Amino acid sequence: MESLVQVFTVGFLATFQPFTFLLLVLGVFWGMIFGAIPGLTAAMGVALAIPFTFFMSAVDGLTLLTGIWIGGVSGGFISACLLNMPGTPSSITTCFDGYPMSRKGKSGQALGIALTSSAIGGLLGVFVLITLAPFIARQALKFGPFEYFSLGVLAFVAVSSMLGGSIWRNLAGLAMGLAISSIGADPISGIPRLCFGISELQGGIALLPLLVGLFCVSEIIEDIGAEMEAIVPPEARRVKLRELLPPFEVFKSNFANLIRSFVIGLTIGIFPGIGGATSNVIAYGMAKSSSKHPEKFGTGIPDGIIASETANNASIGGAFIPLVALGIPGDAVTAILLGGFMIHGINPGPLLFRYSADLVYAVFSAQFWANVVMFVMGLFLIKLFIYSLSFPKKFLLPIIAVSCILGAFALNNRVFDIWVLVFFGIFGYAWNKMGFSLVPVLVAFVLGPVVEANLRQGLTESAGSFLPIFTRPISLGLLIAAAALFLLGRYLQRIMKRRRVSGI
Amino acid sequence: MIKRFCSLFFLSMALVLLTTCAFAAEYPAQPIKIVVPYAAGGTSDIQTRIMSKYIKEYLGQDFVIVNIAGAGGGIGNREVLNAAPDGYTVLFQHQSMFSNYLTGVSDFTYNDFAPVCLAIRTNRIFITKPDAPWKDLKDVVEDAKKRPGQIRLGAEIGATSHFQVMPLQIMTDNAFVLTASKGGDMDRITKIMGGHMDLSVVALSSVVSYLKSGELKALAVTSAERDPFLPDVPTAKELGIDAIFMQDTGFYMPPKTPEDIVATFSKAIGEVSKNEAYVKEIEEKTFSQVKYMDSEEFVKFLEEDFKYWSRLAKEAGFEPAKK
Repeated sequence: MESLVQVFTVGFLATFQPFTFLLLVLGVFWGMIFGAIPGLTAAMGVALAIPFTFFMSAVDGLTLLTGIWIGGVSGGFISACLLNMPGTPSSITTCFDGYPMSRKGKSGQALGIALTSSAIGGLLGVFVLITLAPFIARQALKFGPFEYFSLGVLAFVAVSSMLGGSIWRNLAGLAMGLAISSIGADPISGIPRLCFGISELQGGIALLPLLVGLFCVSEIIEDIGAEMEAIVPPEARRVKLRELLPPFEVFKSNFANLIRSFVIGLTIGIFPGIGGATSNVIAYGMAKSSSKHPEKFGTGIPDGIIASETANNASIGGAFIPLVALGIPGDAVTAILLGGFMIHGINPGPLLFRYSADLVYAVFSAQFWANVVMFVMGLFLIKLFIYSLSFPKKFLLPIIAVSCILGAFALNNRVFDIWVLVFFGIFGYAWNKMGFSLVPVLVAFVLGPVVEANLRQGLTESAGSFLPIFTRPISLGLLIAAAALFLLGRYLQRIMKRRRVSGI
Repeated sequence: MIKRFCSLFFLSMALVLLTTCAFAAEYPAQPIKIVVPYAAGGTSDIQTRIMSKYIKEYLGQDFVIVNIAGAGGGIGNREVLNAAPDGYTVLFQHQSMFSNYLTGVSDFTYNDFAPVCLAIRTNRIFITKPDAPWKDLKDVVEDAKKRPGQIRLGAEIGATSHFQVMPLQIMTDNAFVLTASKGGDMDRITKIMGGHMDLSVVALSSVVSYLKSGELKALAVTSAERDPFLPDVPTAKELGIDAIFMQDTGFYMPPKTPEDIVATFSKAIGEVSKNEAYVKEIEEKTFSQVKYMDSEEFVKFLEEDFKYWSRLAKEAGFEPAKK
């Protein structure tokens, strides 16, 4: 509680310096643009801004980076709803209901719900972060390799049995994702695998060209030769602000969904390496499985958007917890942020609160205000994006294609990544055409290395015995949850089939 | 439609390419690309960025820091290995080039490049939990001899940390359980704090704040002399353990780079190393020491160190990759 008071006094004072606040606004804007444009991600936005922070004070620099991060994770919903392309891995499931809703001519409403959910998830996350960070972080340390392994298994099950479609086809997708993720240096011994003699593959396939290839380039290929009408009909290009603010009833009827998605997002964010890319998928799956009308998911209902966007913004708060409390980065972006701290001679970790408490409060306060700024700015940006998408696709798609390629190259300054992008674009197109879902491929790709490395690490610890997976309580609990989820998924599928047959 | 798509696509690509054209003149006539083979924000990254603030005065050109991470530094290494030998692409790397080669992960090592100069030295340190029963590294070794197969010694298999724990395994006849880590110091620090590993070796720069706050305990540094930032921590050598390792980060250019280009670059680094503000910033922000060696001295040092690492690899049963 004391830290809450400090954030609202000392922290707010720091944020409300004119220059600092300007940086926050610029950061959120920059981040949202990066998040919204397919091919550019929050991680890239933060990495590009790091050199500028060199010439700023610590508070200013970190405020800017925080703003970009929050803007970037949130901005992903814009392209997810309007283009069916997740701007960041955190918005994959936002496409599922956001895009169909958009197609029904309710773009404004879809974006409004996504924006509001993002802000709610983000703000709640900040409060938990401020009040409980050191305590939670210490508990999370007890999570050992076997627990991580079981958590990964749970995520795999959630993806294959909860997202809809055939469980077996989804399992095939998981297997494909795992195979792709094992290309490159083996996470434990560093020996290159599945490189086919191509030395560039030794570092493995990077997430960004894979994601953008699978979800954006494949979508562009799909559109080539198709009817090129505008995504947003020209008569709907001007939306009134009032239309963007979702009716209160939407959130009232989704209260349980909102809280559940928030808890899932926050919890998953805390564990290093898993993060927002996974949390939105699990939250969506859980929302669907506990809904009274699971068959409506995927047709453009608010519930799905709320689950996905609340969870991914809550994960930001979650990922920040081990970063500030222990100096342990939870994902790619926090790892870059850690560098942002170190540039100013500040080592995040146990000493941060003792020696640089004011700075911590300033960063927390920046997080809080970044969410507020994101909400307000989002309303205007949404108007802008809806307007710009009312131009015919033939003008839009080439620009998106170039931004995808630029993004893939800029990631690591390698031309090879552009080929990876193109390859997965064609792969994604074919995979979709064969009636498979791309989401399990992506989730298995993200979690594959985490699951493998932790399992093997655990096995070196237990001298080769698999037994601890079942004897450690948390690990066992996660596996039981996975089994339950699998059965529930099959049961739901049967119900949905029956309802469809009887036409309800 | 396809035609229109293509024409707009190529037009925008052409515009992008036009802005990246460059031309050659006397070295250095354009900014120099420094390849940091690790992610932005890591120690190597911060060190080169600090350097880039001072270097223009001595070199006449700016540094452009490019992070090419992956495969324990191997991807960035290869990028420079295959770059044009014109002195505009330079690698900033440490002994991980030894371990990558000696364990068969990559098929090249330091002498496949043109080593330019040594710039920065960081110490390595053995750490454990604060409530561990040992006073220093010697205690651990004795304890391991008494109860083999019970103490978990963390290292990243095939990486520098793996080599740095080898002397302990050799001394005790493999009494430690070698626990694999995913890579990066942070992973091992987290695992020790969470009780999933008993001790490990990391870069001193990663743990100073944890040692000061009492979240971790130092067992020994592996340098020849005590570390200026932690003068109370004994060296492994003092404790009778034959292990001398440091993290020596220097610059490497692609093979066949002309000697005068190497000399020009090396001289500039030598001069900036005398700048007090630079030295102070490196020390304060990265807990490392500025340590300059020109290319001749650097090559000699690398040869010696490489022999030592090769011997360890042989004793541990590793086979280097075939070139």
